[in-house]
Formats: sequence, C-alpha cells, structure tokens
Amino acid sequence: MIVPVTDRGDAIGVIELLLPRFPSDKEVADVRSAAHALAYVVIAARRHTDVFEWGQRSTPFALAAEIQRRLLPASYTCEAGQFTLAGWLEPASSVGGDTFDYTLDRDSLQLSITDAVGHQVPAALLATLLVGSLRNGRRKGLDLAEQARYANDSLAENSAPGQFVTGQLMRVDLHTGIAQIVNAGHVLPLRLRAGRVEEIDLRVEAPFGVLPGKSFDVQPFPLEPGDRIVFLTDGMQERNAVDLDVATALADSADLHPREVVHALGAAVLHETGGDLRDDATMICLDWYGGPPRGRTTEQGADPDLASAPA
Amino acid sequence: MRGSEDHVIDVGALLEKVETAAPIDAVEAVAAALGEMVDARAVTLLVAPSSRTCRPSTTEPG
Repeated sequence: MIVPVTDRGDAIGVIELLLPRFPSDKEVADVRSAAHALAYVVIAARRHTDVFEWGQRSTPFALAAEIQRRLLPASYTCEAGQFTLAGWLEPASSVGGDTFDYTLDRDSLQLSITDAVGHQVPAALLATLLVGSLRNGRRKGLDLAEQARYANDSLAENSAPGQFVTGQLMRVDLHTGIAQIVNAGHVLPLRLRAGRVEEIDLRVEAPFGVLPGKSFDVQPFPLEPGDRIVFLTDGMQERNAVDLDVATALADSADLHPREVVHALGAAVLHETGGDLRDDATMICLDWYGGPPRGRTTEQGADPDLASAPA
Repeated sequence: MRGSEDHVIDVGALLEKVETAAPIDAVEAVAAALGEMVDARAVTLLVAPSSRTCRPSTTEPG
C-alpha cells in the first residue's frame, strides 16, 4: 500500500507499507490519517536535522544552490479556500539567482517571483538581498508600492553598480478579489481562462536596483474566479529553452493540480534543453477560485476535488 | 485486528513517541507505529525531491 504524506496539498512524500494481507477500508482510512499526521511530524522534525534535506537530494548542491534554496518558501504548495498556488524552481547547472515567495494573511495573498542578474554565488547573494528586503518591507506592513521602493533602494544602496533584479510583486485582496501588481523588468505572466492562454499586458518598469529612489506603479491585475495565472522567469523562454511553447504546455495541463502544472512545466523545460539548463527556470501557478474567505474541503492533507486521477 | 478498532490513532501517544525520540528518529517512530496498525512487514518513506534534477530518496523507518 502506498499512501501520500501531504500537508495543504504540499506533497512531502509517500509512505509504502508491505502488508501481509489486503487492507480493509477502515485500515486504509486509518493509515491515510496516520500518514497525514506523519506530514506534520516531518515538518516539525526537519527543523532540527539535515536528514530530510539529504533525502531530497541525489547530488550535492553547489554553494550558490544552497543559498538559493534557503530563499524559497518552506512549502512550495498551498491549498486554501479561495485559491491554490504552487511554485517550482528548476536550478540551472550554473545557478541563475531565481526565487519565488508567497505569504498569506487575513486580508491578502502576496506573492513574488524574481530573477537576479548573473550566475552562481554573486547572483545568489544579490537574490538574498532582494528577497530579504522584500520580506522585511512586507513584514513591516508596507503596501505593495512601498515594498517595491524599499527593495529597490535596498538593492541600490547595498550592491555594486550594474547589479539588478527583475521581479513581479502581486497582492490579492481576499475580501474584494481585487489584484494588483508591480512589474520591475520581468517576463509578463500568462493567464489560462476558458481554455485560452494569453499573456497579460502590463507596463514593464525598470528592474530593482537600477534607479535609486524610483517609485513603482501599482497596476491593476485582471483576475476573475476560474483564472489560472502563471508567473515565469526568462529561463523558461530563452537561450537553449527557446523551443519550449509554454502556452501550449499550459493549455495541455489545464486539468492538472497547480503542483502538477509546475512540475510538468519544469519537466518540459528540462526535456527541451536535454537536461542542460543554462538559466534557472522558475514558475508559480495560481488558481483563483474567488468568493469570500473560507475554509476548504480536505481529506488527509489535500483537497480531493483538486486531485488528478491516478496515472 | 488493530485496524478495525475505532480511533486507532492515539494522538497523545503519537506525540509522546515523537518527542521522546531524537529528531532524526521522530519519523521512524511514527512510521513504526503506523506499520503496527496494519501489521506491515516493512515501512518505507519516500521523500519528494526538491527539483526534477534530483531523484527521490528513501528512508527506511523501523
């Protein structure tokens, strides 16, 4: 018997049991509940030991990858009543300084995707500065425009001339469903609506770190219930991944859970590049259901209505 | 059959096992308890990889 170990749709792993007999329905239900509890035990235990990090790696990380990994959120997937989101970062062999992040409070969902110029440790350190300033601004209670300005000035003040980071910061008001975005020199997001994939037209401003003291426009973001929004970095679209048709891949994965969508896109870019990524490929998939703030339907750590059929 | 009883998971006892074990053994403690529920001959936790370029690794609890 193989049972998922899941928390809020975040696939932590699976547990495999070799049984002496076919399990009863009650036993299956009990084991699934215990596996859900195991997810929380893993989450708590991995704060104290590297053993789970070892378990997630089959090859040693480069220093830049180690730094970059610490910049990502603790969970790459979050199922909630009004939305499901998932992020994924496929690191290049020469790490490119990509990151993604999200946070949720009672009033808003905020997320970001960023791409620091350069490669390896210098890019990872630049990304550290940018993500640190974004989180610091956010946790001080700054609004989206203030967060962008604070991050921009922090980068300009603390990095060498010529260093910059592209990025997008998005905030969704959970009471009104109104979304806003700042675009600092970043690849435009895609939207899957009613089976059709479109690029969302946004004004593209200068990247973070280029113009000290700059103010950023907070632009309205067209978001409706049922939309799937995908944020990318340019590693998905350029250099040796140029032949990957992200829009087609998105349309083809319309029935998948956001976690599976970002995995599928990551696999597609790796396939397209023959496994030799020249730049990090990073993405966030946000499914917006809308409606008022509420709980969700869940069974043992995942929403059964969102789960894909067995492969 | 233990699995046929109601409320098989004793959360208090489970947390006691977790807290008593060293952090590196906490998961094994839960996995072993889970295996006992259904008389499993072996229990293996496969941890999801952190990127596609990493293959999943296994730990063998209990």
